[in-house]
Amino acid sequence: MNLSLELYIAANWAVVIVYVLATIANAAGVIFKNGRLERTGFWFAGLGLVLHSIVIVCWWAEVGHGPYMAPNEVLSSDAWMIMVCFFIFLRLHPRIRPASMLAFPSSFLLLALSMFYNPGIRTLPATFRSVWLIIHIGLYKISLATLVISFAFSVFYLLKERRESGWLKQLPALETLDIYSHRFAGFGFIFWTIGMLAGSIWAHQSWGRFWGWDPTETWSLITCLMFGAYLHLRRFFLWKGTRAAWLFIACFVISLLTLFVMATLSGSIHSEYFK
Amino acid sequence: MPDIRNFITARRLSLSLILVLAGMMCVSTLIPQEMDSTPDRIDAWRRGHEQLRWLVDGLGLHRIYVQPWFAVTILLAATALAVSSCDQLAAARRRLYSTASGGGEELAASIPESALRSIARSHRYRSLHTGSRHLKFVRNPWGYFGNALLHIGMVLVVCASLYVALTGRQGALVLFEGEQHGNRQVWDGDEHGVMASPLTLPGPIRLDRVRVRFDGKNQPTEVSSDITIGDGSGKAEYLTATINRISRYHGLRIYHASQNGDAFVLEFTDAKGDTHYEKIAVQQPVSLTKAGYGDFYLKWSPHVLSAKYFADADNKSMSSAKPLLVMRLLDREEEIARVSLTPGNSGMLGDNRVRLLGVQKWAKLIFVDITGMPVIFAGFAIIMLGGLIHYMTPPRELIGIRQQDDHYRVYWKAPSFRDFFAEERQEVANALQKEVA
Repeated sequence: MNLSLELYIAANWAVVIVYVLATIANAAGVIFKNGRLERTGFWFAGLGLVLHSIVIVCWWAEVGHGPYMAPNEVLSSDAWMIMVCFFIFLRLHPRIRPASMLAFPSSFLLLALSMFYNPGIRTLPATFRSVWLIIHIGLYKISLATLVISFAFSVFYLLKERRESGWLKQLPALETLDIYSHRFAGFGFIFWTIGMLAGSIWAHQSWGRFWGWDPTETWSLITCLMFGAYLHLRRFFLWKGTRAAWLFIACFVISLLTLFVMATLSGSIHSEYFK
Repeated sequence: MPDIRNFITARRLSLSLILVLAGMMCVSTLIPQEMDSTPDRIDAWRRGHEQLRWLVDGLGLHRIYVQPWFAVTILLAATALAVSSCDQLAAARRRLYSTASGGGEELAASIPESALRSIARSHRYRSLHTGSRHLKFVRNPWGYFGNALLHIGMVLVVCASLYVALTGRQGALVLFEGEQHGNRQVWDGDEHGVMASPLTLPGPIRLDRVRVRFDGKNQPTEVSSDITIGDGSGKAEYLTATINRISRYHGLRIYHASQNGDAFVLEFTDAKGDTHYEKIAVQQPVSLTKAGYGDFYLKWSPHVLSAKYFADADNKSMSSAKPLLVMRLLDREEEIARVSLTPGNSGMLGDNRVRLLGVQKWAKLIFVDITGMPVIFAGFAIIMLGGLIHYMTPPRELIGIRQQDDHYRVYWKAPSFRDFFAEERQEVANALQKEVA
């Protein structure tokens, strides 16, 4: 099935609208303690995810490469991966359900933002035709998704700790929020690390060097070290609660800077592909 | 010795080293580094930061990654990791065989052995260590070793990387189709570790042919170069270097860089009547509608020659023999002249008459001589394995302590992320309670 640029843009906006409806219904359901509304939000999210998947597959067929070249493809696939990972983890750990309050809006914001990046067909350079590209990028996307879930629990912890009233009462106990944030930060850390190592293997295969202190590589390692410091503090220095939540949020911001700012602003070899 | 060991394994030290390394890396992205910046950029930065020059020069902050203090920090981190890995291995073994139920949560007060074994098995808890007074079942017993493996992998990677950095050497060559590069020691760019001599080619090398394969959308899918390389004794070998595929020759690894395209042979006749010949290598365009670009400094002209070319002047084929070359003469960044040429044609570029004499394919190849990469990749594999085991499959324990009536008091314990497994704990507790009832 061919997908014209106009249809691609329209389909993406349709998905944004469905995600927005999911966010509104879910948030209203949680805030007003209306289970039916909350379930409707999840149905909308599921529908949005199905439509989003179809759009990505059709665009993939149209442009001849996966969603990792143009900035709009990158952001769109990030939004998709957040939704997919959220639903998979929800199936494994039903208690992460409240993270939908941040996972759904993150997805529609990323997808809407992607539409402001001049959607167009980008050519895949010959160096990008490697399975390591998919492993490298895919793992970073999974890492981002798990970090968003962890971020949601850190934010919930801080909100609930300050004022336990209204919808915040429905959230799990503070200790549970804290442990979930810790656990998903661990998932994020390991996916980030493996993604970085996969990039290193690919660099060795393509350029004859496995590490070149490229600014994006360096910031990726800095992020990895910061999450390492966070996990060390939690494990050995028994950091938990408020200060652990704030530290995680700081690490999360660094990871966003690495993924979305450093790769485009710096004189990095990665930035060549994201212009 | 115990003092040194305590210092090395102190958790504060490992945390400090992580933060110091992250800080150094941040600095390296704020201050331009010689390895990835042009001299102009470094000069501009220095002019804008006069007050910081003493610090930058004193610590060598334009070359952070080759400073002795950086190497010392890395070595200290590697030593701390190595000692800590040994401790963690010992701790993992201890935990594996321990039967203490300290910190465990009591799930049932009196359960027969056969029932306990059956419930443990049905919840995927393996029987590990059985004594006369106790039974121990663990779900994911390998999880004890995850953190130790993660750290061992890091030690391997750091040590092997250091070895590669000290002994590795490489050189890059830009080769033109049909031409032979005879000088074994001249490179278009090379680097080598402090313990290695500069790389020398075994013999002359010739680029026979560059092949670019395109898909139905005219996008390049594969770039490969056929080369003939001699071993110095007169014997020659034919090899094909391809992007993303490593070729090997007498211990050397040959990589095909992403840089390749068409080289244009030009004849310039300036206003004085002097003739100059130039060969400019421009990057391969990625599609029919997009150009490949390159800027060139001409020895005989004060201006910069900025060139771009389209694969086909007729806009039909990516492998056309009639590319369209567009050249601009720039005075600083301002265009002062422009001409478009196809092979065999001539035109005026400012005061210069220029003729496009011919077109040749070119490609950049990288020759690498390093040992130690298998150890680095083994380290990567161990890091991945350790990380996955540690974070994805943490162990959970079910411990039965024998009572006087030969039944067992049962405890459940998760060394980490206890609350995360509340559902599983409840399931086991329910099964045990059902048995009691």
